Amino acid sequence: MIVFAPIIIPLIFIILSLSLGKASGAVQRIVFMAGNVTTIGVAVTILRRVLNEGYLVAQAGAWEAPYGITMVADTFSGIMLTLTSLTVGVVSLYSMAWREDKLNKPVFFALIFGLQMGMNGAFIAGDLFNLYVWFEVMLISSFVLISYGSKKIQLKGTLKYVTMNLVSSFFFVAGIAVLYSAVGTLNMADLAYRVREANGELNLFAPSALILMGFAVKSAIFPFFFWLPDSYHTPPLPVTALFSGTLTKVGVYSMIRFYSLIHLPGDVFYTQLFLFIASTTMISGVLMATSQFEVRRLLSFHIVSQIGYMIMGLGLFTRLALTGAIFYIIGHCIVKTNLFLLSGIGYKITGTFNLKQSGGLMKHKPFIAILFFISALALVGIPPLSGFFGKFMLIKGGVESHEFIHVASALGVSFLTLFSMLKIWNEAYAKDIPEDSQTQDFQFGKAPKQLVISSVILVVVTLSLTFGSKFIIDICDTAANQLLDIDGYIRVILNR
Amino acid sequence: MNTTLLQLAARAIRIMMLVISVFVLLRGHNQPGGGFIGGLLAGGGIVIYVIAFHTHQLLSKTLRAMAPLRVIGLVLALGSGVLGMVLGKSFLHAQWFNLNIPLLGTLHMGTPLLFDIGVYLAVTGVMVMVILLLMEDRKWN
Amino acid sequence: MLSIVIGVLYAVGIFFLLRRSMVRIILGVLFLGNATNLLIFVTAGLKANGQPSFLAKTAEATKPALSDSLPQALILTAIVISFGVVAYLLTLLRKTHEVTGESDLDRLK
Repeated sequence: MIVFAPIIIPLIFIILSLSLGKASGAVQRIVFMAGNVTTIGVAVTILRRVLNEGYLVAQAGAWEAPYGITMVADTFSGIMLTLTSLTVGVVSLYSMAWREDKLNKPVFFALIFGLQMGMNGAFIAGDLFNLYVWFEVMLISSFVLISYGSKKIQLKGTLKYVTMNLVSSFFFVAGIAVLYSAVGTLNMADLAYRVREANGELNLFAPSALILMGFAVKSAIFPFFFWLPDSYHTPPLPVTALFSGTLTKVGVYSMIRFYSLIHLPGDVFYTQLFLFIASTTMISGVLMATSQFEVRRLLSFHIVSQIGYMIMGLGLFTRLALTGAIFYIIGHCIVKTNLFLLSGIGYKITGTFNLKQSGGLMKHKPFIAILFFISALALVGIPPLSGFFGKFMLIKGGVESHEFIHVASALGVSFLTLFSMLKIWNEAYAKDIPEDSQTQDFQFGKAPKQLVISSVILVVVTLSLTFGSKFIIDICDTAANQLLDIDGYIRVILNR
Repeated sequence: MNTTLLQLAARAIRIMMLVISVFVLLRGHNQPGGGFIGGLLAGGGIVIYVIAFHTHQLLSKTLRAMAPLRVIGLVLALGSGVLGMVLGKSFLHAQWFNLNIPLLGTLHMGTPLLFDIGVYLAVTGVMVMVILLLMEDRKWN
Repeated sequence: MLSIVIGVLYAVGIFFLLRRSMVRIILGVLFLGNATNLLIFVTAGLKANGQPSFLAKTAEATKPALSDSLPQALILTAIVISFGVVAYLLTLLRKTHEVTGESDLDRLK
């Protein structure tokens, strides 16, 4: 029963925040935070129960598995639920202190809950069409959020974002249609069962290519990533931080979920395809990032680059590599959100997002500099921090599978990431305030405490990923094992 | 668009569409129809009426009247789902019971009807809101 | 026959998407949406003998009047979603026009 809670609770809070339009601001904000806390609580409960029981399955309306709407939570979904609800919670805290009037309206709160509902639904959807519906719920909320405030540059970014994502959705639905005509089912467990039963006789090339198109645009992998850096830097910063941490992960999650089902052992084609995609995504993202001087654009290109690592885990498709990929997703989601939040704090202080015009943060705001330092190193993967474990497992998995070219590109991309993080560090933190710019005689602004607090929370989570790495890696390992154990998945859902 | 012809027709069309929409809503369980289509019909009727008698007051009055429909509709639809859960079955599990109406006989009722009514209200509210907001001249933010 | 229609709809939709005018983009999205709905209908719904495909292959053939109802449910859902998306796009179009006074994408800088 609790499987439905991640969908129902945001929906209840959407209704609440819409109907509280006339209440005072404080009440609205309390409801907003209460909603976030409840969602986090539900997600953690699901994760704990999944760790104990393996799978949680629920059928809407009690219709039997291949016919009705199935909701499944396994460890991977539990992890993703917890991760995204935590991120959304922290960003909500941040957005309330961002002091932009539009971000404190009930409509905004309802949209955040809508986004949350869509993501949660996508994580626990048990059949493909349901996944598509939740994608759309998530996308429509994100469309409105990304155009929220309607500045001119923002509308331009929105158009690219909306058009690309809509086209990808159409590809996805077309893929679903072709898949249904080929296999005759859309339930993921039933799909996996029939694919295995047919033993390679089914030709799934067209549907899986179409569906890959759909996922590829949403998770911004090579060569479909151009919309992301073009639109992610335009909305208000809390929205950017939220999107960068969570949205692309939903695409990656669905890709891992879907292709692990139809991926037959010993199928070289998918392995090579995904590894190729992974390497090209990593390299192209990081190369474009190095040439940027706008913090938000730079970080956006980094998202693209790091999606590559996650896809690499899918491409290698061994237990170790998948564990690494899942751990990397956790670390990346938190760290990337935090980097955006910190760049927002930097903006509040220096009044610009442009690296060339900012500076002196190290000297005047050492605490924020420390926060940034930890996050940046965690992103690059300097040993004891969170990025390291994920990358290490991925690379070890790659070496074990003898994919040396891709391992080499992963390592090279790491160095380039370090380089561009150092660039932010040098420009915004270490160097002095530039003298020739207009900022010569300006005062440092103040960053509201709440902004710093939300960033501190995420840094604490990052550090706890280091200190609790054994525990987290165990969970990721369970998740990876469950992903590989398709027969168990089929058995639980279909009772076969 | 204040032409007499349209205004005359709009009165009739509004009533007809509202009645038919309820009919479509109720027949939706086993035959083509249902909440979404009914809601579209009802919304269409209201919108035609507003177009025919287009004044500022009417527009904002309709908008205000339609605002609670969305929330009520969502609450009904969600409630019908949660009801199944509360009664110990799965989410959205249908609950059926027979309603005895004197003189008319028994009526087979269930929570799917409640769900459909919720959808009907929500669709009507949202559709009217979208079209009227797009029609409106004033700048909105 | 229907497949030709689908092809034409896809072509027209993509052609419209590549135009500069924003109105054309909305039309393009509409065309693509309808093409996809028809695609679901043709690939999944229109089988020669209309057997619901979730029945086992060995099941007794149903009457020809009965066809697979799942694709129709899928299409209905897809229509509802594209309804919402088009409503959003129209609002976006109006807002963009209001803010910038342009409907030409190239001049939207």
